[in-house]
Amino acid sequence: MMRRPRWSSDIKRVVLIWAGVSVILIVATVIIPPNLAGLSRIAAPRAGDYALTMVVFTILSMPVLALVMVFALYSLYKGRTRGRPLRDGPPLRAGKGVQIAWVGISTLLVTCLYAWGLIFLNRADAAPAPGSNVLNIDVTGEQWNWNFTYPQYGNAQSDILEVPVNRPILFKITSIDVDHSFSVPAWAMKEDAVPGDFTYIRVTPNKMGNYSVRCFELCGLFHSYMEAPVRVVTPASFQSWVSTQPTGYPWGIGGAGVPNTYGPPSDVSK
Amino acid sequence: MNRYVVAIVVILVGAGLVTATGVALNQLADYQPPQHAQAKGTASTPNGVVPHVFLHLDTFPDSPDGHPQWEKEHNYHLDRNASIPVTTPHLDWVTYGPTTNLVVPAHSLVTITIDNYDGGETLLNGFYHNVRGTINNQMTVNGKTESSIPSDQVSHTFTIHGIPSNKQPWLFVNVPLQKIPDKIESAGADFGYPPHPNVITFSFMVGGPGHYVWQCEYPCGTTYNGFGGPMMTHGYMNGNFDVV
Repeated sequence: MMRRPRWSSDIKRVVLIWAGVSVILIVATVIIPPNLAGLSRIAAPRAGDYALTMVVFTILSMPVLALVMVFALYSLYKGRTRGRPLRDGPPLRAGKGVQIAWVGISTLLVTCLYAWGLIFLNRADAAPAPGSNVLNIDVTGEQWNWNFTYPQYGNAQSDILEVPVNRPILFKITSIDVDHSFSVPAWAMKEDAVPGDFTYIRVTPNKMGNYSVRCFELCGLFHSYMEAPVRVVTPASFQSWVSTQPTGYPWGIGGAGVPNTYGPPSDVSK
Repeated sequence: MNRYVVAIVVILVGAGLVTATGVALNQLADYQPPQHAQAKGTASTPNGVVPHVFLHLDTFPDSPDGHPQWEKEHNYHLDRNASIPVTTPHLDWVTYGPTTNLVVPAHSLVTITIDNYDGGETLLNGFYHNVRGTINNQMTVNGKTESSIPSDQVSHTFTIHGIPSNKQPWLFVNVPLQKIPDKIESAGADFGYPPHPNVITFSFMVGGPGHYVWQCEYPCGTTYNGFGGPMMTHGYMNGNFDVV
């Protein structure tokens, strides 16, 4: 008859190893260089929220990862045998307490993540306070260029996305050929550009500098070249720049407009 | 021991296949010989005296290789590398010529002349009806200075851009090409082509070395709102623009 393992000493050992590995992983998560985690260029509050979310979620998931890995590796080590085993191992029957614990802890963790998401991720797309001087920018994706129209400035148009620092922006996005994805990684912002529809996304850049727009939807031959410069400048510099840009049609699509299936956010008129 | 030998052989064969595929794809990507800009004197610019270099391109409603008499009359040769089977030209595709790979020297004034033999309809994106990035945001069309073309008069565009980088200057040039009137285009009086192309000339400055691409932004191809076929294939309505 196969001897039942001594669970108490094994569990103690696993818990100790798990605690140690968890601490090491959590410390590594906190001190890992930001550029390795893709969080080095945070230039908007929403990017800060997303970066914080990444760090917190990673910290919370490290003990779970450590538990699974330590338990699995310890079991492999402890249950090792030479040659092919002739018998199956003893059956495992978890006690009620263990089941309640893992279901309860898992539920608690998931609920915390859900609450966090509701607060921080919802905040990223929230409308700015009434009376905010929102800058509207129409974005058109076309193989393999982006172009930008500023309807509040006589439909000034540019191949460069220049914006004033600390001013809320509402992007209205579309494509005239295939699906593209409009993204400024430094703003943790990405929204599909869909032919025949408008999509919307908000951001308030809070750090001056040079960044870039990238397409994140594989869109054809020169997809890898579908980028555009982003310049976050002072309000005065922006005013000076936008007044020198050539003007074009009210909307980038030859003035014809496109169907609006999804509709704008509730605080934006069509 | 044999297992290890087999494993090493498999890895080497795999690496060889990947390398061969990469080399083949790289050759396909640049299958057209480049056109090097011809230097003709210098130009005084705000950046000082710089070389003035020239390129010449043509735009056709279909391949000149399908109009051998016209090619003979005009002593025209479309540069295609026929030794690579998959690059067999699509004779019915709209195309730039004689090549779509362009090379210009760094820190120079570039003047490009495009002879456009094609008609057109209406731009889908009005952004491209303005001339951008050239000297004074202007071009000449048959000798007349213009800064834009009405959206319904555009045949193609010649649009250069790169990627934002601290290793090369940003370059964006957009020139809409005035279309040939429909009646003249459809008559095809010169062996299938209009007798006189619209001649578009424009100049722009280039900075330091860099790699850029260019393409037509008028949807003149097939499928996907006209953005497929020649718009999505090397050697037709797009190409490379290298500053060396």
